[in-house]
Parts: sequence; C-alpha cells; structure tokens
Amino acid sequence: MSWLIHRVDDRLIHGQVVVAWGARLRPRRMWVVDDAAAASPWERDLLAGAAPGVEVRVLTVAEGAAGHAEEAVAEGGALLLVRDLATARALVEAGAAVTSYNIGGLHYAAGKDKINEYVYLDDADRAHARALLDRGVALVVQDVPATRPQALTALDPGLATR
Amino acid sequence: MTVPLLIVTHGALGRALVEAAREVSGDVSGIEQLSNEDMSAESLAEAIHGRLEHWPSGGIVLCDLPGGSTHTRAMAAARGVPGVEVITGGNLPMLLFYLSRRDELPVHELALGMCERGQKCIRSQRADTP
Repeated sequence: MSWLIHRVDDRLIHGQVVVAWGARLRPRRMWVVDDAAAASPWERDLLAGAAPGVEVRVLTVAEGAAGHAEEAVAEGGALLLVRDLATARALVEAGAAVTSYNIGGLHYAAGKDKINEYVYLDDADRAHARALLDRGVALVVQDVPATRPQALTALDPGLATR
Repeated sequence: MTVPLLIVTHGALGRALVEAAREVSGDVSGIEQLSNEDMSAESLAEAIHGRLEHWPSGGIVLCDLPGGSTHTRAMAAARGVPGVEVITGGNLPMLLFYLSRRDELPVHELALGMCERGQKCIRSQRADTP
C-alpha cells in the first residue's frame, strides 16, 4: 500500500481529513510533518488523539524526509499532512520523493489572493509552488474526495503565466 | 453565576442548534457560537480565544466533531485558560441540559452533566414488530 496521499492543509488533522479522506483511503498511519508541532509535546498529544483508530506520527521535516522512503514500502497505507507550501517544498528539498501534493486548505490571511473558496496564496506561496512544479511535483487542488480535482496552475493565472 | 457557553461547529450546525434550542426552551440568551467556515486554523483559534478572554471564571466550549478543527482549535485556544471545559460530540439534548442547569452548577459538574445527558439520549430502536 504505502503512500496514499500527501496533503497541504493549514488545519492539519481535522474533519475533512479524518472523515472524508479517512473513509475513502483507509490510512493506517497519518504523518504530520511540522517542525513547530513536533517541538511541542502538547501539540503532539492533541494530534495523536485527533484521528481515532489511526496511528499519528508527528515529525520534523528532517525526520519526515528521512523516513519517507521506508514508509513507501511499509505495510498498510499512510497519509501525510503539512500545513503550508513552504513545508511541502522543504520536505521535497530534504529528499522526500513526493510526486504530487493535494492542496486541501490554505485559508484566508491578510495579503493573500483568493484562488477558490479554500485556497489563498501570496507571492511567497507562489514561489514555493513554482519550486515544487519545477521539480516535477504535481499540485492538485481538492478539498474532499467528492469534489473535482483541479491543477493549481489552471486555477491561478499568477502561476500559469510565469 | 451563569456558566457561559460557546458552541464551535462545522458549517451552520451551531446556528441551527441554538435556533432549535430556542424553539424548545425559549431562552437562549448569552449563548455564543462560531463556525469554522472559511477560517484558517489560526484565525479560528484566535476567534475562540477572543471569546474565552471575556470569561472571568471559566466556561464551556461545545464542539461537534472530535478531532475536527473545531475541537483541536478549541483546545489550542483554551490552553492555559483556567476553568474552561471543551466538550465534543455536541447535540441538542446536551444544549438543553446546559440551559436548564447553567445557573445552578459549577463549570465542571455542568460539563459532566451535559456529556452524560448527551450520551444517554443516543440510542437505536426499532418499531417494526407487529
């Protein structure tokens, strides 16, 4: 089985991930790759209890990259979460062989442009997205399995006209 | 003293719960609610924390989905705030129990009572025997 999906979602583990993707993909493990969460015992505990019946691992980017290949051949499926495109890029640049990221939720913050109802990007986000695209990593926007997946480049003219 | 309540849900569930409780119970004054619609994790936690700041003696945050952003962000917002109880699995019987006892019970006992009532009201029955 191995890797089922790699997702960029500022909510990390939450309802859409546990309920919608969980029911569709049936992951045995969830990896949360996030330096800040990994450094906080409190945050790790909270995330560990957020997906009933699933083993949650909260890892730094370095740990995530180091263990990525091993998980790819492990028994049972795994789902990976990062909270932003900067972390998504850092994970790939640290050596994780990610071929595609699901863009599941990057919500509004000041200075960000609306791409759709749940994706907002600023120039820094676009720079990370371009770096990932240049490495051949697909960026596919889709919040839940029931909605149509769309390429981020098709939704964001700022990315397409580089 | 009345224990304050903040309902935090997905979509329109919180608004609907308060509306339904109003129909059954009449007085839902003071109940606050927030939806996670279109909110980042950070802004949701900030919005929840902004409400908790006004609770001098603690209170109750009623969430819908355990493990959902409503729950994890409520926990993040309530971190270190004295006397705040975060409850998941919110339903109408829990809210009605809260309304009936919010002027009598302290925060912890009220929260436990809400959980007990909510759980007791979840049952499955059949009516297809002749």
